[in-house]
Amino acid sequence: MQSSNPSGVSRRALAKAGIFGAAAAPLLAACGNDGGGSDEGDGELDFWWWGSDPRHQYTQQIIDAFTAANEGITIKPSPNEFDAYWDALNVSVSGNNAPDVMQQDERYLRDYADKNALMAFEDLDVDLSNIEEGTLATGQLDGKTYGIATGVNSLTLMVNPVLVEAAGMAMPDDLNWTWADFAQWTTDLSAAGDAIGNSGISFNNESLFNVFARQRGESLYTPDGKLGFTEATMNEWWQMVVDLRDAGAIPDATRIVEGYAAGQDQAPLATGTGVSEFYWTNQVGAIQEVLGGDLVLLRIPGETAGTQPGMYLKSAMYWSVARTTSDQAAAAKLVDFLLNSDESIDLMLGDRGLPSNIEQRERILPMLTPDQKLSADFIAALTPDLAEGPPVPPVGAGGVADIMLGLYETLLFDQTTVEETTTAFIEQTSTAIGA
Amino acid sequence: MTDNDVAVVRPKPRSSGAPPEPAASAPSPSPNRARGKTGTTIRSRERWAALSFLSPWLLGLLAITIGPMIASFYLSFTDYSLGYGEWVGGENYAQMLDDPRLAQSIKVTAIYTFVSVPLQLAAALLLAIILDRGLRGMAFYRSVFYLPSLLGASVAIAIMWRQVFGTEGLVNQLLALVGIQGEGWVSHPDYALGTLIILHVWTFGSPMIIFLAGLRQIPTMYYEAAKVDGAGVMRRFFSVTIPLLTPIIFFNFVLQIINSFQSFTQAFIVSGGRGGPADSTLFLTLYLYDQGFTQFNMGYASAIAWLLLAIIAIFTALNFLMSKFWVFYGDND
Repeated sequence: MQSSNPSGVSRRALAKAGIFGAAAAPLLAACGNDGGGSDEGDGELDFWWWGSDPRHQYTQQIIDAFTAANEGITIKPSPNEFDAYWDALNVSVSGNNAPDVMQQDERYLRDYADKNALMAFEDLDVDLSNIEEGTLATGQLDGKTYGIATGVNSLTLMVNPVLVEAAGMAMPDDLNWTWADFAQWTTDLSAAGDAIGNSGISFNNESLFNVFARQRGESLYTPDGKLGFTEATMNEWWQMVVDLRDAGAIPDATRIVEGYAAGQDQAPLATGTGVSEFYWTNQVGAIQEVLGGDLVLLRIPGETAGTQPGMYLKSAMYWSVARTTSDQAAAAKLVDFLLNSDESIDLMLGDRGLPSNIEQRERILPMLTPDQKLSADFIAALTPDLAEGPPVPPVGAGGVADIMLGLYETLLFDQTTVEETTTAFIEQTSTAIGA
Repeated sequence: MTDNDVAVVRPKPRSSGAPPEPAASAPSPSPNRARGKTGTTIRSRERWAALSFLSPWLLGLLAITIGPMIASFYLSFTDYSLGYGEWVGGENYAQMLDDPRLAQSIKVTAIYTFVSVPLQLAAALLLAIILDRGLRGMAFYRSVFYLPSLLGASVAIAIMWRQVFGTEGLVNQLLALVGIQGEGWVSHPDYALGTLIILHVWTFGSPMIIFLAGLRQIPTMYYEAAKVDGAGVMRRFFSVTIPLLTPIIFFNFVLQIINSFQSFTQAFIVSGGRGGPADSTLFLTLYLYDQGFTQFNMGYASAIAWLLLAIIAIFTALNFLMSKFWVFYGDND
């Protein structure tokens, strides 16, 4: 579950298949790699981001505004779809052709920074005065800042109220509900209505498990980059999944696999065949659009039942500059423009998360679209109740999502027990993050 | 089939009634052998001409095949990742010994190859024999049966396969007609690989065309001789067609084994790029891709690529060794 990646299988597959075929050539060019960023800029910037069509369109408008205001800088934009983006970025960085300015994600930022692919913002002239310390810290590694958060979002349980009503049931009290309440509610929904209570495609999401662990005073990762939860907690998590499946609250294993593979636009919540699913707040607009109806955002269950609230604000995505950029000054100008200019934020609004620039956030609140307002209000109401955010994920955390999904599948198909799943997760994840 | 022993198939050209002239006469000694003193210059000039005509291909071979191969061989001894790597010696290869997912991917690839290739060749041969009988509109049928070969490796077909074998897919709708409640075939670890094997078998077109060509080369006199000796249809198939076709079978077998070890696109798309569900379709190529492009372990991925090359080389060598025992070349009789 990524912050924003409505993905149809065909596009990502096409792009990936193509990249694999072309992958050999850059490897050849990749053997020597010493060049650093030069101060004598050539004024040409490659600018890469991922997203959906609306984002591509307004980002192009931002680029046009930027180049109009900055004579002598040309920008080569390269929009992509989330999964294909990371393959392409990996290949281009390996081939020493990294884009000058790029969108980054929490999962991969530290991998790229650790491999010395990114330039620290301490060496760049970007105005960061309107961005909170805590927000900046989410983009740091070893005290240097390699990514600036574009905005924040939060996990939420999205619910289709029409289907709840059709099942003759009521909305839960999400301020005080427990995971047991959630299990009962979704089980009843499946039994009473035609749609499945929860589509079950998020229990492999390590961020959601992180919320669960934090509610127990633990966390997915510790500040020093180790695993921060007990086996008992993860056993409890997987046992809950098995119970939900057996009770019919979530679909059988094959349908969950299909639902996951279908991508956000074709998953049960968007097609109206599922009542609820966990997503990031900034995904609500895209899902409502496909569904053609309104969704309600609920808090994650168990927030008041444990030792502390587990939910947290995540940096939606980051702006980063490649260490090998051909024009440091121009790259810094572009990031500055993206973060701080009215022209940029007027177009971006809440699409890359609620803006991290506090001044800009205040300014655009009244201009938000209804779905962005929904997210903004949800986050605003939630913020006072939040505990301190989780530590940044360690290097190697990018592989954890795949590990968890693979193990979730073996569990769903009864190929492994709850305890075996936990053991395997701890083992494989420890290898991935080198803990 | 009363007197099977009569129909011995050791074709001797003169044994049948009125055979056509043997098709191929022995090659006559080349007239070029006795060339004059100018021969060397002509030959070296020809060599340059040949080289210059070959150069587009040669450059391609060096730049996008040999070069990257050397690079990847070097990378397989490093921990290369995102532009940086250090020499780690044989560590990547040592790591393979203790990698359960690699073992799983070798198992999946082996099952896929050794189940789908024989089935595919059997289907190809059967169709080739049916089409070889000279039906009216043959060219049309041949094209129709060849079509899956062209389409089978495409992304579009792989996506269609997902739909056809999905929970609400065509297969289950057909099964529902006869009262069977089907599974989500591509989404179940017990069946997902099976759907990929069916997809591979379905692309029988190119071996079929090669079989057809092979069948055309078997002189009809052998069949006539066998018929005269009283051999029935099956007997003629097993004692004339199959032995004389073994070189073609061998060729197809080697080619298809190599191809299916390298299968990527279909599994990549049908499994959503992860070799799922539960690693049940994790081909070696997919695991290589996962290591290189998802986990950023390009050094290890390069080592896996060389492992794949070694596996293919070993099986091809084995194939050639074993061919001595079953492949029948007419001329060494």
